[in-house]
Amino acid sequence: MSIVLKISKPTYDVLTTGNANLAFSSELATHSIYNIVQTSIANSDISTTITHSLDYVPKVWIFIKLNDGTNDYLTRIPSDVLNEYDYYITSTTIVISRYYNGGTDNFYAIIFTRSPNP
Amino acid sequence: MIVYYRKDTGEIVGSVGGRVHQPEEIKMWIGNPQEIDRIIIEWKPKTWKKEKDGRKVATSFEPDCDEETKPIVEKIEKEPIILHEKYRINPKTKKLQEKDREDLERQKKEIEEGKKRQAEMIENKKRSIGVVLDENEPIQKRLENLIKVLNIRDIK
Repeated sequence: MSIVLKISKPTYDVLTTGNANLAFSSELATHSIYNIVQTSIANSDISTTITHSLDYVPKVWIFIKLNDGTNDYLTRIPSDVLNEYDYYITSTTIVISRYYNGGTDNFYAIIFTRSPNP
Repeated sequence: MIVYYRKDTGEIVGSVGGRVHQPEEIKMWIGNPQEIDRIIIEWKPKTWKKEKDGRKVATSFEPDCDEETKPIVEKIEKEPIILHEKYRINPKTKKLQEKDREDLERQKKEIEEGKKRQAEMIENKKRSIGVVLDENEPIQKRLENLIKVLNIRDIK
């Protein structure tokens, strides 16, 4: 039997909680998620700014929530098909933008911790 | 969980997940601080057990908020959703609450319009890409579609 080292996020029981609530697991190829931020751009707005104040430029994945007519799904931006959306990252902010206004677009920003081997 | 909302309407503009927030997360913000306020709901120990050495260890946790908000927070954690679709903040009481029927109806219309627009946008892209690649199309048409696909504006 191999030994596994796990650290749970605060308030979660490390023995029973799922991988999503772990800060570290030796079983996973971990590049820890710092946080998941939900945000939207609505109406006449063309951008939204997340201020993270981490003092480094984090690796970030941005997903937009779409619907195929029946189900909601998430897809990464920007892409060849969805090049109306883009984002940029600085050491203090993440700015998600779109090239038009009207309607509401919902986004998930997955912010990763600083890599231990930059 | 940190929830950001418009000071004037209570409309939620975003959120940061998590039960307990580190100082760096507390510094996070979404949108313009002049227009946006936030509420922070963390979790606290609910039950304890005593270890042999006399230390108290928490065995379960609950949201650290009023009784009315508690079930909402627990529900959100079990079924993560885009918060602003179902909830808003009451700007006066600063409490998380479910949207009323009127809000949901108006929002439903907006979502339907948004879905149509997104579907059209994707369909147009696919069509344009297909036409660009179609050598039987006139060169002028292919060029127009290429401009659309590449999102070039103000071409002279």
